[in-house]
Amino acid sequence: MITTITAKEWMEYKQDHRLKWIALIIYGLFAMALATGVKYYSTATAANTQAQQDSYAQWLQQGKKNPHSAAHYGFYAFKPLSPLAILDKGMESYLGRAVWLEAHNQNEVKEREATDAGSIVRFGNMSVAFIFIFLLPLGILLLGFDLFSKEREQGTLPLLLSSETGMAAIFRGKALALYKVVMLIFLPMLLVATVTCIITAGSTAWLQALPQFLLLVLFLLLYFGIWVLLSLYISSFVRTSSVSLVGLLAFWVLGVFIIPRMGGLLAKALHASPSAFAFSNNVRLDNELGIDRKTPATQRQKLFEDSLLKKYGVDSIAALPLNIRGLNLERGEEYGYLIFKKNYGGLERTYHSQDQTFNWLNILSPTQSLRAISAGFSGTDINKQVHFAALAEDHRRMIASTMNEDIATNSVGIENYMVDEQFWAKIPNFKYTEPPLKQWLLPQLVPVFSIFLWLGFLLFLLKKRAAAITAL
Amino acid sequence: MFLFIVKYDWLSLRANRLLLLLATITAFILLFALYDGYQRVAFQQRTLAEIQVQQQMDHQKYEKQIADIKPGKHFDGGHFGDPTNPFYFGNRMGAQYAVLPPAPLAIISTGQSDMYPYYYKVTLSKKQALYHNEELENPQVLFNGRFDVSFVVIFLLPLLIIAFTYNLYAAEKENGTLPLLMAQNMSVGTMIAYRSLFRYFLFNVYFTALLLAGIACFGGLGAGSSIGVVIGIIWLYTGFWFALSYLVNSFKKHSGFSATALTGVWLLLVLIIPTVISTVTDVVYPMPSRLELIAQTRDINDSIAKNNNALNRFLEDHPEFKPAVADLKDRNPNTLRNRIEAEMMVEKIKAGYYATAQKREALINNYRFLSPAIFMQQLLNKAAGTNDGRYQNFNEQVGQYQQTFRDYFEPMVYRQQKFTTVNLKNVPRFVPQQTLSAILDRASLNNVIFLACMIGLVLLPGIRKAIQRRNGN
Repeated sequence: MITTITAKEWMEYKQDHRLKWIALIIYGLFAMALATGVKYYSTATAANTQAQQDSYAQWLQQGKKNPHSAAHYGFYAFKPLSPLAILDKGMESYLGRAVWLEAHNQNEVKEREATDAGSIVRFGNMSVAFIFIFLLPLGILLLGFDLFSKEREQGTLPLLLSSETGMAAIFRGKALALYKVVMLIFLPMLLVATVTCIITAGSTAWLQALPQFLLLVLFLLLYFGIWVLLSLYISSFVRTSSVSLVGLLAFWVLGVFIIPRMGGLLAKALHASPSAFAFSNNVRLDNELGIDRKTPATQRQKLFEDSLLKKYGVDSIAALPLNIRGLNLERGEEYGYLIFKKNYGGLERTYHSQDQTFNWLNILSPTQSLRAISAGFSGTDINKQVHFAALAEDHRRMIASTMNEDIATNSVGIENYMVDEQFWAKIPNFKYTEPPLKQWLLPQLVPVFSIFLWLGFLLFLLKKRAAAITAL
Repeated sequence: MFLFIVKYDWLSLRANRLLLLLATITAFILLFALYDGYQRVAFQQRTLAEIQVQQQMDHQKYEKQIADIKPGKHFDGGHFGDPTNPFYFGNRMGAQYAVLPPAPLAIISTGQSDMYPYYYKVTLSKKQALYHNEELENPQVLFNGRFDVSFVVIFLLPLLIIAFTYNLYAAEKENGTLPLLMAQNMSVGTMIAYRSLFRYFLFNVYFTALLLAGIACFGGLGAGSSIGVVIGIIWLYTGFWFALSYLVNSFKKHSGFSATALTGVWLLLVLIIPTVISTVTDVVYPMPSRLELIAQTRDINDSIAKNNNALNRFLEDHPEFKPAVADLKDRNPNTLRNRIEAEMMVEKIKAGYYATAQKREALINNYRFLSPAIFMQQLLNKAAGTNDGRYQNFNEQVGQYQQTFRDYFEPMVYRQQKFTTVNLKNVPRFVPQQTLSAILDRASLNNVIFLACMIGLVLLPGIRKAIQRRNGN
């Protein structure tokens, strides 16, 4: 029976001009979005690889130097893009791309592209995800707003009610038909997008991103289902199709425009984040006055020297078996780690709390939940940024410690201590490794929950609604 | 006749829940938006106040430190912390902040104020260090954009207008009152026109009153005539949407069609066209990657440092900067000179960035007529003093100031002088120049005229029909 209903609706859609126009517009924008994504990914990846090589080559060729000067010189770590960034640029324009690994300072990940792009970029950027997450649902609601209400308007509802088919089956048939139409539009795009990604990123990189990609596709399929069910539900509920259309459009606008901005206001009101000045000033004061603001740098130095004398059982610094300069530098670095852990940790926690506020508010709209999931799986949200920053910081500490250790052990009694160029090769180039799948999933728990919640909620509502209509 | 229609439209609106609903929603979102702006501006002002306090404290602290060091004695707070060394002092301790306070109307539009720095720490480091300054913000907040007045005006007002007017014709038809109207001696077209006009005024008077009250409450009245300009362009922009709705109504289709058509145009103008223009701009004039600049800058630094001759060459040309007795162990004069030479070379590369940025801006300005949303965004940002231009201008001012700051320290570093309390007192300070440009420059005026023409064009079919009918009568 359901197949017959689906076939009937399917026939109707095939004759509907709406479908042709919607598909045409979406395909046009999709082609543009995909081309832009490919160009963006190839250019950014090439620039990234080149910059990472150049920066490391400069490190290797810095010549004979004191290891501490070398640590100051340092090199840069660059964040590579995941192949899925072709499909979803996410927040990439607003995230930094590079971080300088130098002695004493954990630097911010900087160089966000949006800074150069001018105010036009604030309108957003066309991406395949933009088409799938924002525009395709619009197509679904334009195709589905009268899915049920037309029966009422055409006067065919009494006929349906008098037939033996239950309302639940009619709902199921109609929903399936609309979903089939959505798949008709979506699947060719998915195919083209997949092939393009494999060609652009190469199969190795692609295989690495495959689990995230499959999950993303799964959630997209569920997401389209939500919009189909929502259209059906609203259209079964209202007197006229136009009310249904206006209601659905309002819901779409809410999810696309209002909720994300409300989220910003709410997140910032609940969890205030520091200005760049306040942040760097705190780091400075932690350094000058101590993290507890009670042990200034000179006092810390004194305590450290006393502990050294005790440890090595000598009565003067000059009698130490190691070079005090290297030890001091290492102590400075270690204290620096504490300072940066406190400050960056605090900042990351604030951003995390803000993002959680976004996530919970996003439950109001499946659109925003899916946007979060998509950017998360594409590695274009803050989570990858934080992961990258942590790996870069580990690398920076490794550079600093290697240099300081060398000074401490090898430069005792030598003025103007220098090491040869070969020494620099002891430090490997920075290579970013993607986190395991678990780490991609964990931050997305709330959005994933939101998608399932919507799905369950709508199925429940439709079931109740079907029963109510039968009773009429 | 107009007043007659107005009276009954008002009565019917009063009887309708829609008016109350729309009025409440409008007031609510505007309040929300103004609060958002207030929160943002207050944060910036607080930050600037903190900066000032820190600067004063530093000044007192270092003044005391410098005064306390007895002549001939060494500073005992670490080598690099010696405030009597002009290089170390100018490099770190003596940092001066150049700040750009928010403009009086800043609350109405976030613009670029959450991305571009409104304060710079100026030291003896390279000018390019300024270029890498960024304000800290959660990327998700930046990405989503703010719920500010400019968002309400550009994105939400059109939707409210659509909801307010989309079924002016269709409702009569669908409620069965159309035959009654057609029996009157006034044409239905004229009646819709009068009602649209009335609702246009009603809507704008209400919104303007709310906006003015809000600006007064949140302390933006000091902006003076800019407020008038802002309100004027809001009336123009909403006029465009009322005219569009009137046009769609005059097609005399059912309300579902009107709603879809109007929302479709809205989507096209505020979302699709700006996004496409933004994307095309990126493809036609991609910004050169900042990542390349990093490596290039380092190469230049290294080559100058290896050459190791910059200072000698400079001092040959400028013997007045030579120290009386040179301390050859002091490498600071070399470091500073190398830095300046590198900066000059990097500036040449950076010129390419500015050129690209300008080309992008020109492209957008050429095509912004395609969407009144882009034009509105630019105008409101300008009124709020949060536009690209103001920050570029500030940037240039800071660049010049940095030059002045360095010119002050440079001779002392070369001459290997001690930095004294008198020197500290005379450190040049940043004085911001007026940076608010006229909101309506030539290009914007053209846009205003264009938008006015668009309104005329949209209204034309309806007006022609009305005239034809009158002549026919």
